[in-house]
Parts: sequence; structure tokens; C-alpha cells
Amino acid sequence: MTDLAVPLRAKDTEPRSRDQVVLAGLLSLPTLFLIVLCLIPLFLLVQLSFAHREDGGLWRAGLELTQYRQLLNPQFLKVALFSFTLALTTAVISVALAFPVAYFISRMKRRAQITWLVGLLSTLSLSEVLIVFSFQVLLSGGGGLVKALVALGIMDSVHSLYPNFAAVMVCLVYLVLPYIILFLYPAMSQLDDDIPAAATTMGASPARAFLTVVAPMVKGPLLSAGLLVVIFTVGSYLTPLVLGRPQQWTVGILISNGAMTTGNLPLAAAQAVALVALMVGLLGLVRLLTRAGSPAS
Amino acid sequence: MDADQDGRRPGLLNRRGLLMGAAGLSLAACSPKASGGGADTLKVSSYGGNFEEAMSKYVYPVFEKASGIKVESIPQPAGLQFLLQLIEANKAGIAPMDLCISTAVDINRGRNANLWRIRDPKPLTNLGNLPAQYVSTGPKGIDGVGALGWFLALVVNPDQIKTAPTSWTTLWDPAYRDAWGLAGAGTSPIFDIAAATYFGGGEILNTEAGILQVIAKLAELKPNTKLWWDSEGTMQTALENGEVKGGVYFADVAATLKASGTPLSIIFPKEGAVIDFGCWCQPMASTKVAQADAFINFMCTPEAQQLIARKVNAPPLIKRELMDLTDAEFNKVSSDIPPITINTKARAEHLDFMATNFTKMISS
Repeated sequence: MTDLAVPLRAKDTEPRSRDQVVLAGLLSLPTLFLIVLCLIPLFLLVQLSFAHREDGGLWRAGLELTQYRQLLNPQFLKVALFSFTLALTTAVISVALAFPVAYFISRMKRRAQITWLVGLLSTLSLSEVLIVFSFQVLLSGGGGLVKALVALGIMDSVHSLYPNFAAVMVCLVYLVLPYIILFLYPAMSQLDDDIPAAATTMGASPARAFLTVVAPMVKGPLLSAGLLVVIFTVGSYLTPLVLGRPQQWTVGILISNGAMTTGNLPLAAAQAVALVALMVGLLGLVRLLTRAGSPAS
Repeated sequence: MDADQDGRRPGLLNRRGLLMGAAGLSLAACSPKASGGGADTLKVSSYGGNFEEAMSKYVYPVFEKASGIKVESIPQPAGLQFLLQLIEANKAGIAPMDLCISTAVDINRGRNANLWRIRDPKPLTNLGNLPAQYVSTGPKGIDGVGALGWFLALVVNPDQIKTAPTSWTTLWDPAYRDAWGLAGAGTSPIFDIAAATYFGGGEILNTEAGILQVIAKLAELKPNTKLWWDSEGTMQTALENGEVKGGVYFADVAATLKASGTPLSIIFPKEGAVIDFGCWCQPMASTKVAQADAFINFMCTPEAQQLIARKVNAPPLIKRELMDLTDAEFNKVSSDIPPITINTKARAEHLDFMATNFTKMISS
């Protein structure tokens, strides 16, 4: 390959550098956007987290660790742990559900595939607020679901199915599921049916072929999908607020309460910075583990 | 006070209200000297929705006719976002409005940021009509004058609770497990309700030890509380669906819900309903002092306050004997039972302590 590439590169030197200029030009705008709209606000957030809080008032500029010290209280750690548990549980459930769905869609006829994908895409146009409040109505005692379950004898009496952890979980899974199916679909489409078939020909049972041949092939996409769900849901706010009890409050709700109700923006900023740091830490950990797991990649 | 459909309410988060307000303020900030207009116009913002509409339709025209000053009414979102943007605009010398409405907690926050203009009481000849508690006075002087009030009352669904309760103690009654929707933010008036019902008044909230005592009492509400609501829309849905049997809610919004068919009894308990209020405040960057004085002075007249009671459905703030409201008109928006007032001193000094410990209590 290198033997072929060398003469090619030598020949294309001029157009290549012109390409690079064009590329740099094209990339400069997004880079500028990233700096202005992402890095500067992040810097301001970090700066705010060191500001001095004035009780009952707002805050004034400062450089102190008061807010970070407050993060060490068991209350915040408990809520942070809960947020991650919620996000990880949502990830496991939604990936477990999305994996077979994406697999089956990818094996359908083209027309059916398109119908499914368009259907999934169209659910993304619903606002989160609308979905969460619809779940509130659906799970309420007067909602059709409860009445149906009572009529079928599955529920003993009419009572609402929220607020609780399960309601939060179900709604979060509903919210992320279309993203994850669409995310897994390309990987599933590329899966070559001949490979598990070959494994079976070589004497492996279908289950063994699936576990030792198919699963390792899609391990990467599944893991990425799971991480995507964690990133999506770790900062969830509206779903636990509306469908959960205060015991199911997440860091997102604490941040909102601190920022919007008590006006303690330095504390809210510190909590947000901590959440970002935990998230980056988690991503780093996953990267380390996957590297250790597959040294070849 | 109403603003029910839009769900905007001071101190309570409402995403839509915040977004609209943010958009409004940014637009206002883009146009230099937004408070411009002629010398005889006054830009007045008040909580958006029915309230702002009723004020501009029924109350402002009377003032315009009497004073010759034209009022330009703009809707104002509730919440901290509004205040933060106003502070920034004011720092830049821009006044998006000449007068806005602000609650005690936000007046205090604005005061620390040097946001409010201090009023000379001399031109405010009608100030005496207001009880002193509705005039906001800081170390430098008067920076807010009572505009209107709103009540938080006890509401119950008469289909689910046959005998209407008469006391806040019902909230603590073990007979009502998982029944209530209560205001759940860390600064909630539920503190003042518990203090007035069990501790002889709001003074107990002046010390941290007292606050912890009140929180311990509030912890007894946990088994009875199904919903700790933050935005009034959440409580509205819960009341409409029969998800909660009752709780603490805005009396005026409850009245609107009742009128549209939700089964509700609105009760002013014997300990009093909680009254909260907003004040007219002028940002420093607005220079129309005389016009603002004329407006505020008019708003303190019995004529204006009667209009607020009759047309805006909000409780008047001036002394009842000054007005010619019939008993029916008065009782529709208020009550003779002395209200529970919100301890704003406690919020100014111990807000973070109250919020942190309250959140800890309800989420454990």
C-alpha cells in the first residue's frame, strides 16, 4: 500500500496543499463557533463556580473554594450517584431494547426499513416537555392505561403509576430509544449474514455463533450507544422532576433549584462543573477499559 | 394576580415564561434607550398573561386619563432570569422598562446589585394608604411600593374530601396519606404556613435553629405529600387529573380552574392564607422619576385598588376601609381573616440554609 501511496502523494502535492487551505477555511468557522459558543461559556461557568455567594442576594466576583467544599456533603454525593445510576440503568435497558429492534429493521425489506426509520425519526420531532406531560397523563389514575390494566385484572385498584422510579425510567427509555435505534442501525446493516452462517457451518450452535461471533462484532457500537445514553440522561431534568419523587431528583434538578430558586449560581455552577468532570472521568475510564480489553484496536 | 394560562409566577420556574422573557429583554437591549418614547410615556412591565392584559385594559387607561401620561404595558416573566438580565441591562445604562413588578426576595437581590432607584416619599401622597409591610424600604430608603398581592390558599377536591377542612393542620392529618400537592421549592411559603400554624408565627424563621425546628415539622408532611410542585402548571395538571386531593395553591389560579370545571374548594384556613405581593420598582437606568411617581401614587389610590379587585381579580393591598368594595366583591379576592405574611427577613439572611436543608429533608 505504501509503495502505491508514495508516487501518488508526490504527484498530488500542489492540489493537496490547496485542498488543505480550503479545508482550513471550511474548518475555521466551526472552530470559531466552538470557541465562542462552547469554550467561552464553559470558562465563564468555571469562573462563576469560584465566585463569592451573598446569602439572600446574588454573588460577587471572587476566587474561593466554598462551593466546591459544599459538593463534598453527602447530600450532593448521594444525588450525583443516583444520577449516574439512573443514566447507566437507562443505558442498559435502552440498548438491550434497541439492539434487537435495530437488527430486525436492518433485515427487513427496503420499503419496510424506510417506513420504520421515518417513523422513528418523526417521534424525534416531539418535544421532551410534551412527552413527559403525556406520560403524566398516561400513568395517572384516570388515564386509559390504568383503567385497562384494572379491567384485565393486572391491577387490583385504580391508582396512579407515578411518581416513582419506574415511571422516570420508562419515560427516559422512551425518550432515548429512537436515537439509539437510529444510532445502531448502520452497524446492524453492515453485519454480514454469511459470517454467523459460516460459524454455524463450522459446527457452532446458533447461540454460540451469536455470542462468540456476532456480539464481538457489534460490541463497539453497543458500547458507544450506551455511552451516548449516559451522556444524554445523566443531566436529565424534566422527567425526574415531573414523574419522580424528590428521592429521584437528579443533579440537573439540584442545579436548577440552586440557580433559579435560591439564586445561588456559584453553587449551581460548581455542581455543573462537577457533573462535567464526572462525565469526562467516566468517558476516560471507558476508553481505558476498552483499550485494555482489545489491544489490537 | 393570575397569569394562570401562561403559568408565570414569581419565584417559580417556568421554562416558557423564562424563554419569552429572555427573548423580550434581549430585543429590548438591542434597541438603544428602549425606555425612550416621549417625555409623557411610561413603560410599565407586569406579570404576563391575564394579569397584564387586565391591567392594561382596565386600570392603566384611568391613570392615562387623569395624568396625561401614556402607559406602554409590556408583559414580564417571573423568575430569576428576568432579574439577572435586568441587572445587566441596567449596568449598560439601558432600561427595558421604567417600572416593573418585583417580589421582596428579588428586590433584595436587586438592591445588592444597586439596581433600584430610591423613591422620595414626598410626591407619593397616597403612600399612607398602604400598610407599612407593603412598602419595601432598604438602608437607603424606599425602593419598592406595593403593587398587588396574591394568596396561597388551601385547596381540596370536594369529590375526594367531603368535609371541607378549616385549618392548615389538615395537611398534617395522618388520614390523608399521599394526598397533597405542596409548593416544594426551598423557599416555599410552606415554611410560613408551618411557622404560623405550629410555632406562633414567622419569627421562628429568623434563626437557623428555628428553621431546623420548622423543617422537622415539615418532614412530617412527607407521607402525606404526593407532589412537591415547583411550577404551578404541574400542580394544575395534578388537580385536573385528580392525582392529588388538594394542597397549597394560588387562590386566583384555583378560582380560574374551578370556573372551568375542575372540582375545587378554595379555603382560607382559620390561621390565614399566605399573602405574597409584588412591588413597583424602577431600574436606576430609567430617568422618568416624576412620571413613575405619578403612576405609583395613582396605584395607591382606592380608585385603582378597587379596579384591581374588581377587574384584575387580585387582592387589593390598601386598607379595606378606604375602599367601597361590597362584602361579596371583597371576599371574592380576599378574606377578613388576617393573612400569613412571608418572612422576607429570613429569606434575606438564611435563604441558602433554608433551601439546602429543605431539599435535604424532602429528598431523603
